[in-house]
Amino acid sequence: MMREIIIFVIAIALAPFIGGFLNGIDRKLTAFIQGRYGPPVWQPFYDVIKLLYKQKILVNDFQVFSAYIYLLTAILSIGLFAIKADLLMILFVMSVGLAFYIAGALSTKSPYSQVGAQRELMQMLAYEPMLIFFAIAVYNVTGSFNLGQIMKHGRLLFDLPLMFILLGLVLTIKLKKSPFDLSTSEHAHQELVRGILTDYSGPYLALIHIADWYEMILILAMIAILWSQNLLIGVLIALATFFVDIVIDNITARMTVKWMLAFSWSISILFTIINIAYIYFRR
Amino acid sequence: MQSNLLLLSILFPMVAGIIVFFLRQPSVRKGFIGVSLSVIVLLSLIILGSLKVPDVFNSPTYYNGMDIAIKIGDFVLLLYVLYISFKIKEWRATFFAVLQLVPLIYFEFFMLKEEEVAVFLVDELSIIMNLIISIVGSLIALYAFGYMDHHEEEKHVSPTRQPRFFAIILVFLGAMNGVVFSNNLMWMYFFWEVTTLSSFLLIGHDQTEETIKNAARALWINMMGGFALLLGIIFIYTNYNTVSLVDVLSIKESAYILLPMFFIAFAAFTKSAQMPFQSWLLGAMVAPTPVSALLHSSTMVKAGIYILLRFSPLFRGTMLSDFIAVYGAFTFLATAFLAISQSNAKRILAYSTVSNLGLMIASIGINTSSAIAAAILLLIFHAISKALLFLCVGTIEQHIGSRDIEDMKGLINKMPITAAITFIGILTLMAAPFGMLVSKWLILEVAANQIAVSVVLAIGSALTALYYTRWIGNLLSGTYFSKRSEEHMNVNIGISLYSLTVLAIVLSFMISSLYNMLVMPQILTMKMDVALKAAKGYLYTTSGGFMIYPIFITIGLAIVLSLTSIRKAAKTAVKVSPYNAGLNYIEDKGFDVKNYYLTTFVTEETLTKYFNYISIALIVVILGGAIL
Repeated sequence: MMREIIIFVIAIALAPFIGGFLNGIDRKLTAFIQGRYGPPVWQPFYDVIKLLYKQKILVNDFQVFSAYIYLLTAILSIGLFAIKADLLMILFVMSVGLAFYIAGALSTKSPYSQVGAQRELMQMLAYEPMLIFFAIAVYNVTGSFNLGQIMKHGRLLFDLPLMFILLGLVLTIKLKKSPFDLSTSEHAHQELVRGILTDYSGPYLALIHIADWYEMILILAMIAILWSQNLLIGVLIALATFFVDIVIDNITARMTVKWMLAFSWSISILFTIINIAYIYFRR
Repeated sequence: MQSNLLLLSILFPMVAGIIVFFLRQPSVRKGFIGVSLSVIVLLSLIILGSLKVPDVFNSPTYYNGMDIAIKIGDFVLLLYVLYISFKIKEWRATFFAVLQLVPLIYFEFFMLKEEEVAVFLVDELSIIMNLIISIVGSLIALYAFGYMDHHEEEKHVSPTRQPRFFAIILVFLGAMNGVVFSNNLMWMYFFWEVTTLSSFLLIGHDQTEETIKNAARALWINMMGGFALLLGIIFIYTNYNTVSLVDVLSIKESAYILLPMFFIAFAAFTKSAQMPFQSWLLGAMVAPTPVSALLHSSTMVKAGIYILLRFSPLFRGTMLSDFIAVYGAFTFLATAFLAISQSNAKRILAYSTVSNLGLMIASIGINTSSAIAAAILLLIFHAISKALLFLCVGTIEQHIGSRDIEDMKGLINKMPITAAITFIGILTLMAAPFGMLVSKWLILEVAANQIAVSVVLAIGSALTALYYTRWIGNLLSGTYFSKRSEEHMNVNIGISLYSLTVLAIVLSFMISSLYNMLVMPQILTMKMDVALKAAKGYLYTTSGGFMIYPIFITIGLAIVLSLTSIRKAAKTAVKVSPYNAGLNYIEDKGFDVKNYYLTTFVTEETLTKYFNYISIALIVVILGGAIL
């Protein structure tokens, strides 16, 4: 019990640093691809710290609650992942925070955050089933949803190659990268004016950025356990996926909501069924 | 003694209902109903506290009297349905009434050899149903005190039709208790038909053209279900020579049981408004809201789930069971899809009810011990939360004159109490760590090795989250400049809403004790190994576990942190209007942003048509599973 609490605390303390750092690398790399010099790697931390000390600008009280619950559930899901809890339960915890994040933006009545929030709902609709499919596929290999049991199977990647691709897709949608940058445009001067984030500002925007880092780490961790025999290799695979996503971000343009749903659903259902058939075929 | 208690829980509400019909003085009537409701709740608590279950109860003293009364009742009821169907010219109802009369006459007079069977069969499942019927039912009836006065004022109903309304509600509560306690299948059939009739009478309560039309549809579809139930019972009797539930459940030789099981499942599908029968439940939304809450979400539609759960041991491990799982999962997904295109709150709730009932049926179809546990848990939590939400929508509608969720924008400023309760009600339906989600988690885990079922459930869950999240967004939208008004709530409505809210939260919090006290014993009663264990808010099987307390703590922490943050910000923060790209922001005017209803590629009519075809095909497949 004591050991688990320590792991829980270490995980939730470390995750945002790794998340922020990766975010910095993302920006640097994107700049490199686009032929710019780019900000320093630590820039995301400077941004968040600055935001935390900015004046609070609010539209309503519910925004505050939304931002906090989004952050806290993201923290909880990382903690639960670290102590090897139930994979499905972690997904459920994650989706609670997401619902509040969206409802908070919907509640502000700005047309920009409204449109952004509606699109974020669609993004949720695209990737949430995929995550559950992933959990189901993992169960079909390992016979368990418990991460402790799951990680005893050293090299899940060989059993779940297609689910690995799906997780990469989830990562792209989750990080709101092209071609799925629907709910927040990456740059403030686009037509959406940051969409779902428009009315979150100051310290509360900082909370949401930190929560996003946690969620990114969560998805990367899910990829990493596909090679739990040697987690270092797992982490490398996760990072490789992350870099591929950055490249995809830079070579594609934003698509429509309809395309995203059709694409992600057909791909995910097809891949899941083929992959599970493959599992039984391998036996 | 104890069988008298059970008999009382059936007869008392019925007799009270008949008395209410003749009480014309409003204050006397309300007082009498209030006392009756307390007695009903008290009876259910005494039954919970004093009965040693599972058990069968015999009572030779009044068995014959009851049996004859019910036989006469059967015929009176069917003849009455015939009379109604002629009056409203609904020939399909006539058809199914005649279709029931003919075999019933043949069965009762020429086939059935009279022998005395036990009167009541009571196990934890009956107790759970009885508690839901009595407690949730009474709270809804209490709510109706406030609601119906306002309703009749609005519709200019004079003289008042409330005696009729409450009389039927009370008779219905008694009949539901009859369904869940009866051991004689013919008695169960009778009470089942009484609930159908009550549903018809209550949907048509307002006596407009539309209500009568929709009531007629509910009548004929449920009469078809009644016919299926009767056929099922007759088939059981021809093969096994018994109409006693307890004997049927102990049948070992199961070669001939599947065909009757198909008919009983068919009856359950109609009662629970599964695809393609969902149209009657959607039509039923024209009834006064307490009716929707009581009959069409928390109790009557659960009779289908009850009967399927009751007979589930008889088809465990068969193809029939697997097909039922696929069918239930399909209804879950299809109706969740249909709900996406809706902005009418009552229709959203109706679709989501059908959807959740489908989930329960899928779970029963999976038919392992954890799946049955999940179905029972879902049944309990759904009854409470859905009743609460229906009542909230009723309250909102009477204040703002609309049940469209787009009109509920900024409701938190106009009706702060109701909006907050609605918000909590939605949370208990869609968010962890509340009971509904824990049950859903369990279903997903037990369904994981049935790929077709689990893939469908995963998509359905995401759709559910979608249509509830945007509703929350609408309810809570507003700025610091919104016009605020205080809300005055009718006392009865207030008591009812608060109690249901507390019940939903507290039961979720105590899910492990609830499971250990009522659900796990039922699993043992049904002679299954218990795979799901629960202790201190932790539900676990060998393949995973769900902890509710960390999530409760997280939510609590978020509340504390945000309250302190808001208090600190009260002086320093700048309160702005929402970002509008520099244009003037005028509260409640200017622009109109609506939710995405995806009507460009999901229209209700076409989808309904195709989903109906698929579901009919699936029912045929289930029949195939029963025959082969």
